[in-house]
Amino acid sequence: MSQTAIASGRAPVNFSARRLFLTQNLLTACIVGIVSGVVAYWIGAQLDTTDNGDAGILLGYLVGAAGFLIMLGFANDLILRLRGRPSASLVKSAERKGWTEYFGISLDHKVVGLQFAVGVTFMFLLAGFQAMMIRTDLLYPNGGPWPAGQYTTLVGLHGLMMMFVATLILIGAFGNYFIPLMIGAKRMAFPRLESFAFWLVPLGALILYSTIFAGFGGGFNTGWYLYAPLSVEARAGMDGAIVGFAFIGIAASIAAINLLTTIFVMRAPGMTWSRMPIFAWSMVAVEFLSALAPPVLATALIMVGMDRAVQSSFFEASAGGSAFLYEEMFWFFGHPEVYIFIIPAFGIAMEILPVFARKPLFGYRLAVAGMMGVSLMSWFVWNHHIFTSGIAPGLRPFFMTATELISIPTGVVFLALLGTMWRAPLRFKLPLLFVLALFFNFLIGGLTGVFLSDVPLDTTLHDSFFVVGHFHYTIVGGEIFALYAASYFWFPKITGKMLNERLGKLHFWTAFIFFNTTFLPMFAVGYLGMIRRSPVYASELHGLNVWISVNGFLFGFSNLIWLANIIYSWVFQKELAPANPWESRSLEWQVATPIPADNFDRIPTIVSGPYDYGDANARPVAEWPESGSIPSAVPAT
Amino acid sequence: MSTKRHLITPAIIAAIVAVIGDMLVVLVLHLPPGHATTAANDDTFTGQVFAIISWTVGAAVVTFAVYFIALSTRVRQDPPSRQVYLRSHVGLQSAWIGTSVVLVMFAAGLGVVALEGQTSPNLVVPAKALAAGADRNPLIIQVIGQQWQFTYRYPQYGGFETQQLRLPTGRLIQFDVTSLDVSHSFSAYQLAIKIDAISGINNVGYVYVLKPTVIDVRCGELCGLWHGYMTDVGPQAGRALTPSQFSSWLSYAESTYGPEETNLPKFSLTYFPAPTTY
Repeated sequence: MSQTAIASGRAPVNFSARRLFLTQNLLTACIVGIVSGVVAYWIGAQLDTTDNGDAGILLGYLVGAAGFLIMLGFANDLILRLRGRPSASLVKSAERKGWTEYFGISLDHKVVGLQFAVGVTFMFLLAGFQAMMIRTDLLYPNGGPWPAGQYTTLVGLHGLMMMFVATLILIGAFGNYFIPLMIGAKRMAFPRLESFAFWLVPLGALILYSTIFAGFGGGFNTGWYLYAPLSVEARAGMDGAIVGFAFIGIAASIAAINLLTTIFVMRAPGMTWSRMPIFAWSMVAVEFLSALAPPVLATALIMVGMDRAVQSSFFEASAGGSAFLYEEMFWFFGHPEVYIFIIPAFGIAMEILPVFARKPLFGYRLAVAGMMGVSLMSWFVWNHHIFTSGIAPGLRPFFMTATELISIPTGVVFLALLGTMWRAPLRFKLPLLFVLALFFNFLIGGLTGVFLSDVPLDTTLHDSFFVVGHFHYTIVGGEIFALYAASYFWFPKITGKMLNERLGKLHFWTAFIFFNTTFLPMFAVGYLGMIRRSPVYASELHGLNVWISVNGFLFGFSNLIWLANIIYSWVFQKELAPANPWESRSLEWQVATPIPADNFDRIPTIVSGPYDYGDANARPVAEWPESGSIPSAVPAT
Repeated sequence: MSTKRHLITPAIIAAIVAVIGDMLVVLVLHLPPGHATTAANDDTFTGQVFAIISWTVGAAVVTFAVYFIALSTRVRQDPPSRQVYLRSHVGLQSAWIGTSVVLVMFAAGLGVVALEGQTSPNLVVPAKALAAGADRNPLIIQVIGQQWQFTYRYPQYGGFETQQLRLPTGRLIQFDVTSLDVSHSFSAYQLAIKIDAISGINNVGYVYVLKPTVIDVRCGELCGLWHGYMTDVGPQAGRALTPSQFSSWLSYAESTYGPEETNLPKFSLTYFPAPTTY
């Protein structure tokens, strides 16, 4: 390996058949995964005493996944330790392997962050394509081109894939990539777990998509709730949905424990809690949810799997179980889950806003308290999803009030926005535009949530398109717009190039306008009684649905502009971005681009907060042990 | 002084925008589900109130944001000495939280009062009707969800089972909802009720119908392949009838469906795991 190759971060890769087939790599891992899965399926099918074959399929998926992960190398260090040998070093500065690093286990959080970003964005576009298929079906009031069974499978796949995306895109991509850089750490606390969390994602997505093939069960018909007993009785495709969904939960939980530990123990000297960037705070707030909620989901899914494979009847009323139990367990996970989506979006919005407002973040402490409050209170609201399911009547006023109370800490985030914008010399760059759009969308999403929290009104609106409009306004309008903002904001630091401004403007206006024209009418059709997940609807609503579908296609198209912009700017654009194009004070912008393999040659000492914009006397955010190669200060205004 | 001006001016604009919008909401926006039942009355009223609150809050936030965006071009030309450096403001923050607490407690109070009036059988019947001697003993209708149809049993009239929902106006009605297989949701749009049908569980809801109406019944919970088609709408839709029409329908139904009763399981609140009775 030549010296220049190391310096540029790219190493020449020489392939040979021997290297390709006899070492641990993605190809051999896939081969071993498939073979072990098929063998386990065969053994399970022999052991299965019933006629449905669920035991074989479940065993096949799980063993195949284990074979894949072991052959990728996740057991190597464990085996070395067991044999009393030292495990691999975590210091990576001299061993950059070039692009092949992105197709295996990497202990570098920047590699894993980029794996997450690219992989999950790909899944986002795929699941978005399913949304287009759903909207095509809804062009027709009495059932469209897809048969009813395929329509429900499409709805379920779109839901579950978007769960993957929404759970992991901000935490996995931007959390993993930037949290160590923001808090002054050289790496994540548990680099192997970080990579493990990533590799569960393509694995889970593949398992989910395998269910659409007839040989694997031919789809599943429960939507993303997987409500028992429907999921217990469903076709064999449900087995894949269970395993795939459980993998999201495990990945989210592992990533959460990792990020939480990193933030708690690996901050640079001087990085006190009150000097921490708000995005890092949002990660603290969200990871308590993300670490603790998914295990409940995994438990419920294991119970469904056992009901299917070994007839344990946890959820079968005819055998003494309770179908309602599943709803309780699912939503005990499900409600914290939706705050797992939105709290990182708040963090990104409040992180980006002061940079372009050139003013300190208004009410930093209150905003932190707000996010922690949302995080805490989100454990006490889950029953609002099952108001109509027959929960104890005395509980309903409590959960209604708790749900409405959660809008108080959420409102604090809006105060931070308005306070920061007040008399601020705003710089209308693309990240700021997306943040402003995010707040507009989330305002509508939040206010319509109050309608749904009210029990009497919920009896009219529950399970209608009003709910669909509401959660798309919060998740797409909130979180996905945060993804757009973050991509425009951090792209120069990740790739060394700016995203194209003109294409970005086009993306912004098409996304903002067509998002709203798509989802705003959904409140109307929901109020008028259109039930969700149904391929048929009243013919009076035909016109509105055609409008929604057409605008939905246009919104989908605007995502292709985003994708084109990323590809064009990353691959074809020659011009390099400056190290700190937005003049941000945050620590991740103070390192060179491309970021050194170990992030910081010398660990900086943090001496002031990250949002002291507009203060002529503000100190630079960090002091470096010996000044020189790294720029340490940013103009104050 | 000028700093305060840039809070007062947008506040005045926001107030004007909010008032105009609220007047439009009151005068123009007629929210569903209408006024066929006391519950529908509550829903329509609550929806209207929430629409007013939402418009006011939303208009205020957006107005302030747009004003600050417009202001930013002017602020950019200010000399550095006039630029503000503001980290927090206890008064503003307290006022913001105080306002949101008041709004939230108002919304919660409204919801609790309406909820109590819909779930307690003694409160569902309007006071005016009670004064006129309305009956507090409910007519019990059992709604049974099954893939992919709702059927209705009338236990007080021998427990016959029909596929059409018929119910009288001016009488307290108690729905006992259960399922024979997977989870369904009995959602009767004009009645403003939605009650999940879950096997092994008897879910109860009350309705007091004020005027005759068509009742569109749909299944609200994804229940498998033909979920979308599990509807009673159009010609099959349910009907709320006047008491005299209802009693004549009742005698027709008893004579038509009554003889089939022997083929049905004995009336029970739930049919899994074992029948339970009153």
